[in-house]
Amino acid sequence: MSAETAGPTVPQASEDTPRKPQAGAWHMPLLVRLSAGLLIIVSVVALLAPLLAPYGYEETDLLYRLKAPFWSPLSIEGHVLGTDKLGRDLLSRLLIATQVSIALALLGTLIGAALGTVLGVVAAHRGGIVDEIVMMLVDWQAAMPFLIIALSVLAFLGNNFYLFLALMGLAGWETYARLTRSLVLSAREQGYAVAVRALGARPLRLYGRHILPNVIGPLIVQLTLNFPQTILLETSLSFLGLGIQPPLTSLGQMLGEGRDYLLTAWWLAVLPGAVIFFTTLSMSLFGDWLRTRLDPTQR
Amino acid sequence: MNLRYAAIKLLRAMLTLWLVVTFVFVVLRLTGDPTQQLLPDDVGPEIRAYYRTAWGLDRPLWEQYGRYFEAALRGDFGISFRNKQPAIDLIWQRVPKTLELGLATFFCAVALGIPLGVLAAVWRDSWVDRLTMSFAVFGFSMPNFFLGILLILLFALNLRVLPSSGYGTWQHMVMPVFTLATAFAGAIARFTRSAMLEVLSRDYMRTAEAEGASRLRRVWLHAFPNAAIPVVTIIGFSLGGMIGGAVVTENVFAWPGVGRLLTSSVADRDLSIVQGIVVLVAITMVSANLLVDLAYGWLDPRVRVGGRERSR
Repeated sequence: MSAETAGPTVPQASEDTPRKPQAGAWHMPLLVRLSAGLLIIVSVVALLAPLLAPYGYEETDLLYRLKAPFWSPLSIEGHVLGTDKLGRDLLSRLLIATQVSIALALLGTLIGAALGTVLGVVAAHRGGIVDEIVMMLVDWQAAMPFLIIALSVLAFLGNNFYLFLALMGLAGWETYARLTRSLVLSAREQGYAVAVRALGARPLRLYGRHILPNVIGPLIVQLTLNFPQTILLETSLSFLGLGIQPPLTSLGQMLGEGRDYLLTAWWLAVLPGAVIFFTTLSMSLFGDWLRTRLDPTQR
Repeated sequence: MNLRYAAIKLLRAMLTLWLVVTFVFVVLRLTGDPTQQLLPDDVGPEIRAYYRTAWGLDRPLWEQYGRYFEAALRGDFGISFRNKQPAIDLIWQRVPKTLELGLATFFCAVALGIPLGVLAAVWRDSWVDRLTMSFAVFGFSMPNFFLGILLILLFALNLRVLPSSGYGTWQHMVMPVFTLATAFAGAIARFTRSAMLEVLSRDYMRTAEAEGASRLRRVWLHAFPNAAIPVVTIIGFSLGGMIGGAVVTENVFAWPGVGRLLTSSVADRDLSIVQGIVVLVAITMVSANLLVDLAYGWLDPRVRVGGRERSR
């Protein structure tokens, strides 16, 4: 498009070379690098939170309630980010809450991915009525806002940790089921799958050893896109006071508690909120980048 | 409109509704004896037995299901045990307020999202495009409860220009609508952009250009109607996210709608109200999806002829 319009060739050439530094397929833009860096920090915190926390997250100290963080002249020594309404160290709580939220979201995402992938494979393999039933469940779940389903289940069955975890797992299974089903259906017709089948491989071997490893890319991308949504589900429910219950804490629960102190101690709500936002943001940016890498048609 | 196409869609919609109502029944009965949960622990066995008879829990399961289903068809979900009124009445009182919030959000999001998406596609890689895509990513990653709280901090507590929460004047609507519309507008803009990009690269667009159609005409009369099909679908799909978002947003801003009723009922385990709201949401979602499907058939003649294809 530039050959006809531009007269001399020199400026055009100089413009072309530095603009697209396609050094390799895995070149990372700055924003994606920052995201990856943040995700690494969050992962380290999620793994080592109890070791990093200066205090126990439940340790109350009623003499030092609602103390200000380090940037305020009213801050006190020993509590870098200040304390909450019960005098608990905010930094320690933030670290543990990050661990809880990330662990829940990760477990939930993995449960959902496993469930959805297995059901997708089964639907594609069996076809017929099994396929119809799985797809009907998929359509059904896609038709109902999951937050409403989760709220009703929590109302009917009462809140406990394992039920809550199961809900996190059920949150996104249908996207994996739909994706796996269509990937498997098209992969099955390809030469290698036909050959493996002709050699007499059993279904478990055919899908587990041959087809799934070949279609894992889009599934991993789906995982990275699903993860932020699971975090948002957990934090939303905990924010509403219907998810993680005290004395355990999560980022959403901290934010829900902190919003009563917006006027006097805004950081109680803003710090956990910022952790949620930057974590989901980094994950989305990283997931988007991964998707364009793995799927050239998305560019 | 092909009748068979519409009939199949209608049938699927009814099936989904039936599944939701049945799901509520199954989950309720899975919990075991409702008298264990709804009555205090220290009541005697004769009182328990009295309520079991009164609520029909001593009947065979299929009969309970039949009764429950028949009552649900009439919109009867029982009496709220918190304030002893029919659950459906309490829900209906809240519906207009949620609709007010929802409709305002919907119009703002569509009015913002579609033009942004179209412009981002037309001026691809320009600052408009970057701004739109950043906005979409922001809307996707920002939890609406956090956005709401930041808005309260800024506009209600620091600048003191808007009321922090409540219901009544137009000022009360600004922050809740903004909170809800951000994610929705971002998603619409993103999908409009990619749908437009696809259409703009088609052969008939080059033909239109060769025929000398103006740029404005090409974009809005040739490209946009073709891109509208996926956009309508995504608007229909986003409704679910919006309902979920409304529950949270109503709580942040103390908006007296259905969402707040739902969360307080879940906390108090006021099951008849929860049931009623779940069925109401299901009806809303199913009707919206039905409308989208029918609009799809109307916008795209190929769907009517070829029937539904389940790909992707």
